[in-house]
Amino acid sequence: MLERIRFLVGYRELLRLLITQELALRYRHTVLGFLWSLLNPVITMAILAIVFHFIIRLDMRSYTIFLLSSLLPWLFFANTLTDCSVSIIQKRDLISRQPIPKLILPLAVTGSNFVNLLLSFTVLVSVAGVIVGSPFGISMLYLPLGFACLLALAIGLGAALAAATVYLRDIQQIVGVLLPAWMYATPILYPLETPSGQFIVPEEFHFFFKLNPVYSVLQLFVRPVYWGTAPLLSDTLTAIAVSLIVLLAGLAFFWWREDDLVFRA
Amino acid sequence: MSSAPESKNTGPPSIVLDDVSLRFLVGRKSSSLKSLALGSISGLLGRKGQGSSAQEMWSLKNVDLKIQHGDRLGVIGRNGAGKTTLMRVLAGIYSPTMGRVSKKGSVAPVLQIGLGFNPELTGVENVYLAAAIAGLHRGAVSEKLDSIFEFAGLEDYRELPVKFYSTGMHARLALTVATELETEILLLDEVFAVGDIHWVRKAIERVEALIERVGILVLVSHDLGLISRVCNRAILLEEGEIIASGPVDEVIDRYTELS
Repeated sequence: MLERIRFLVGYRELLRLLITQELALRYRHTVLGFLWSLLNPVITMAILAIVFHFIIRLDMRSYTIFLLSSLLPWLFFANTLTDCSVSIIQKRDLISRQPIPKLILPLAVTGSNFVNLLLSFTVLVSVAGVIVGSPFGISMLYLPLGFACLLALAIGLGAALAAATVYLRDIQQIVGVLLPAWMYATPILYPLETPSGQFIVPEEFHFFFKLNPVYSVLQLFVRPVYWGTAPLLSDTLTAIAVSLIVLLAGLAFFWWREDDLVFRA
Repeated sequence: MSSAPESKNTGPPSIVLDDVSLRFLVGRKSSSLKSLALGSISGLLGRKGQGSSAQEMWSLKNVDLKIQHGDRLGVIGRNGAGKTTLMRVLAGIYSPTMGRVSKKGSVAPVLQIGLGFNPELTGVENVYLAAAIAGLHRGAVSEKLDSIFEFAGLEDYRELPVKFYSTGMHARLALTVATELETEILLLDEVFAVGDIHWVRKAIERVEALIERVGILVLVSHDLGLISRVCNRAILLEEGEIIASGPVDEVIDRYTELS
């Protein structure tokens, strides 16, 4: 494992290049260019805000801010899993011709999505904060921890999916079907409870929601940005533990299969 | 695992294959839920197959090979003898099923005319990509861009996505880049098979000029004249085994007797 890490570190320049090329390619030949990475979540959110605020009449304050704080991290997570699951099979030409660490391929798509998230999150949360008014405070210092946990979670699961899809192409389709279900099962479009103490989801069901590994990580975003408070200690510790376990397990699985991937991709 | 591009340390380049064998599992390439239902997961992952229909194919069998600084090794053999597989093992792309590979020095492989270019990226971007894979710094490449595209005859196509390149253009760029990277080990697999006669002559001249500078050259070609002109050693592969090794003339004689 140490040897694999050293091998990977030797290719950090390549990783940096792949991330920038990935970002450059995404919006090449589009008129709006990088603006799309802001417009995309804004449009998605506008639709969801209309549905949940005006039609379903979810009764809560600053729904937009809440939606931003949970949906942006989720969109990163979901897009990354989708991109990672095909990252190896799409680059079979490269890995059959060059002796590169295969992990660099899921890492590159994760990295470019992450850069996108950091930029869109900063811009959109600041803009919405100014317009709607948000209790941004010292608790925002928890955000770097949130980003780190989210990144670890995405890398671990993404790497595992990238390798698994090589053996079982159906995973690509399964990921596409499961992600929306996972989104609705996670308190992303609705909170479990509001800062004013109102339960959107009856309390006896909260336990099931908290089994979701994404839940605690999302709390590191929702609490500071929407509630304006520090996340609960239990959520913070769970988020750290879960993301570390998923990261290590995902990498272990990937490295277990890494040398075999080139024969199957 | 092969060494990272930066580990150029510790003396002259060398590649040693010690009793290397490589097995392919054929007939299980496309995996789907159906095959999962028919076999177990471990069957899919290529463990000793339980009730799976996969066939074993040994592409390399007990290969012992020592390549040292100054070697210009020619690899010949019939189609399907394992030449490209051997090159992939030498490059560190395939890790052997059995045996050991130890390698010193940075490698530039050009396998079947390609470097693994990303078709969506432009020519220039792909050059940067190939250079980064070989462990070269961006600055070092920028200086070479003009001469690379000039030699390849692609000055007007630098900013064109590679997907619009013809096979010949693709091959020209790949060989030019690989020979410009100044790695210690150069692996060329049928790189002269594509292209018009003018390009091939120019390319061969370039490789011959490079021979003085590169530490190790391994050349796969069906052009025996080229092998005997460029190489100072040769091996003959037949069904994954080295059946002749030594001076180029003798190995070529043995090859012509085969058919």
